[in-house]
Amino acid sequence: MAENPMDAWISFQRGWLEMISGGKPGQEGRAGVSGDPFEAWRGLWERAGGGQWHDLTGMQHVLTSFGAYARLFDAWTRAGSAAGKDGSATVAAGMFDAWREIAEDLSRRWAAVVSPFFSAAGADPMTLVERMLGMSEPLKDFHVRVFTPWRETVEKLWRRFAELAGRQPSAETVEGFHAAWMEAYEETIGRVVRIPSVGPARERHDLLLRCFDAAARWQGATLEFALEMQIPAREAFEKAAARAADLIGPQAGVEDFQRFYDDLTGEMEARLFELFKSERFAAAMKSTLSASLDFHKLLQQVMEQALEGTPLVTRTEMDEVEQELVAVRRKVERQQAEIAELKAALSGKGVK
Amino acid sequence: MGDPREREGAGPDPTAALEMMRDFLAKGVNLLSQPVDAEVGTTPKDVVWQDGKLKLLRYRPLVKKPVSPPVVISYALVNRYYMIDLQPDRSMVRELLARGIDIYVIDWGYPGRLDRFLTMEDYIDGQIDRCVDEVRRLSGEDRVNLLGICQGGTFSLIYTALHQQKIRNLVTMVTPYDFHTDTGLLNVWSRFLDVDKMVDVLGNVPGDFMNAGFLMLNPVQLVLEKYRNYADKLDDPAFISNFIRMERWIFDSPDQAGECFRRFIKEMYQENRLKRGTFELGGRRVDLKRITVPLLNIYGTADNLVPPACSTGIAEAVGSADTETIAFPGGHIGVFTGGRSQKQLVPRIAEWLTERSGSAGGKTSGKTSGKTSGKTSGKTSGKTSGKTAGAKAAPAAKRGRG
Repeated sequence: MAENPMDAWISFQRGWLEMISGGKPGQEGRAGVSGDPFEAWRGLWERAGGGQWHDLTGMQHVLTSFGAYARLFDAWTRAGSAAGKDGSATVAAGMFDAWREIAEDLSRRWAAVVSPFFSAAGADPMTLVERMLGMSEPLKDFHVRVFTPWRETVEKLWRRFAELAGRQPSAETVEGFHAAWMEAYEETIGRVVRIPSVGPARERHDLLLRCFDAAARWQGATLEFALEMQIPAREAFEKAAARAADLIGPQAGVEDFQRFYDDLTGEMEARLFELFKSERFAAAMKSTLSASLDFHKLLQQVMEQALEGTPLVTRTEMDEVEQELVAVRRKVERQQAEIAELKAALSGKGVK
Repeated sequence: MGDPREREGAGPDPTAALEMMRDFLAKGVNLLSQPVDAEVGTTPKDVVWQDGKLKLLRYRPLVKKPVSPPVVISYALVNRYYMIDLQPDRSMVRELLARGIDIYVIDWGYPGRLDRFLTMEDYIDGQIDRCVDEVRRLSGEDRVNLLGICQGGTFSLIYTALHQQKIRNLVTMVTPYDFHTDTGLLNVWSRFLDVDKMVDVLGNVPGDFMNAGFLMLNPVQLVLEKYRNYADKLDDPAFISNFIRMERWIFDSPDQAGECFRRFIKEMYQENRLKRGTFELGGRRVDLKRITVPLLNIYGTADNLVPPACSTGIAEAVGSADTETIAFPGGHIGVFTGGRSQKQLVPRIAEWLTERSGSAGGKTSGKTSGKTSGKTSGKTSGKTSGKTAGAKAAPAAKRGRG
């Protein structure tokens, strides 16, 4: 049991990573959920001290159901994998067994919730499930064939995430995570939204995707920029630390510390200035700023898209109105100047 | 409480050192808990004309008959004009008023959303011109003196080249004219700025963004050392007041009107059009050689925002026969707030204006602060002689942006 919530949380996170990677974080683990995920979750929860915090009756129910879902997923992946190997849809039966199992689990544990739903559908729960699962063989075959490449991609991505999770955070890791997320999106939701019948939703999703992409690139560029900034600071610290032994001995006084500090800041100033003058720094700054602006631009588009269905004014609409106002203001100013000139000319001729 | 340095042979006494630190901090906290006198821009003034956010202010003259024509001060858009009147004992405005100069200042205000479409034409042909006309009307003078500071100086050069019939004398202070120098970091960085994208996305460019850039010009001094010095003087109320005034000014940065910013960065910093003679305003080419009114140009020898190389060529660029360039030992801000500036530079500006104006100022009717020597150090002669007369570079100023 963890002694405090923070330890518990870290422990929980670590356990989750272990579970998804099939090993320790950083090791290349087996993709997908393995073993008994329900037990894994419950174990994790207990290790995290969850039992100390609340009356977990409700949570246990959720976890138990989750375990059933996880078993379904496990069976599904195995069935899909087998189907992919021998090309037969019939081996997908295990998958449907798993669905049946989950339906039973649901109707037993959550009877109060699901029974009215089933009743409304005019069938008892199990009959309805049987009916739902009674898909034709071609449909089953299609399902499996679509599922197999998807599952393989997801497996690959899990491996990539697990690998990245074990590395020290760096610009490369961030970029790696970003690339993996993008790939995950493309291979999952991206596939769905590219179905032509999805229509405008595809464009909306694409915008969100680009927004996410821009945010990740911004984060990567910022990290690079920060690293650039850290190099001279680190070098200055190293140099100052090397001199510290001479300056700060057992008898060191305030003046010695002052000298050390002055040395350090002097060194940092010189190195930073050298960096700032370089084109590489200007380029890093440009790239960070550019990435930030790309993100903000897309975010504005997302906001505008969200506002389309509301009676609120968008920024583009405001800009158009404001531009017109500025044009009118300029026109008025010009006319005022012309009137003043005319008045002056007329007064010179004695006309009032 | 013992001095930790007095323990001979035993090394410093950490307990005593901690006690010293505690007492010092307590003193600082006590001081900062009291109301701090950090008022800025306290010299009495009136709004004599207003058009939207644009205000024309007139400082109340300290003499019965001020020098005529009056001076119109055009400050940079990026900061507030009260730098010239930051604190009572270091106020360029007060010093000028004391010498009979009649001062008007343009307050651009804080641009809002609507102002993102303001162009350089709007500022120069519009706002400056309307303010100049108003001062001409109020003073009854056909021509006024124009004093431009920093970007306001660049605007003043452009304005004078196009509206010279309204200007009697031109003073430019810490004014960039040649933007293609590698001695200034802003000049280097600006060349890498994708200003189109910035303005398209942001509209107005945030003042905080500009400030971050200014702080990065000298991060150790402006982000670290400055506050260490501040902590060192926590028990000095006068220092604290002045420090807070300066901080207030530094971080009081209006956003930049997008379209004007776009053009200023592109055509000045990136393309150096003013110097190359290819800059156009309202369809008219801006030829600085057309400026023939007397010119006084002042730059800071240790200015890292507008390095000397950006300013030194102004006297040569204009067509005036009467020019004077002063290389003042100091940074961008020290030119206005430094003690030497108050004693030497500001009196020289007043003298220069008075010599070239129609009527001299009368006697001081109010009390003024600070003493004046009337002499200018670091003066360089105009192009008539082309010599440098005793200009000495001072060490880089360690406060503010200078």
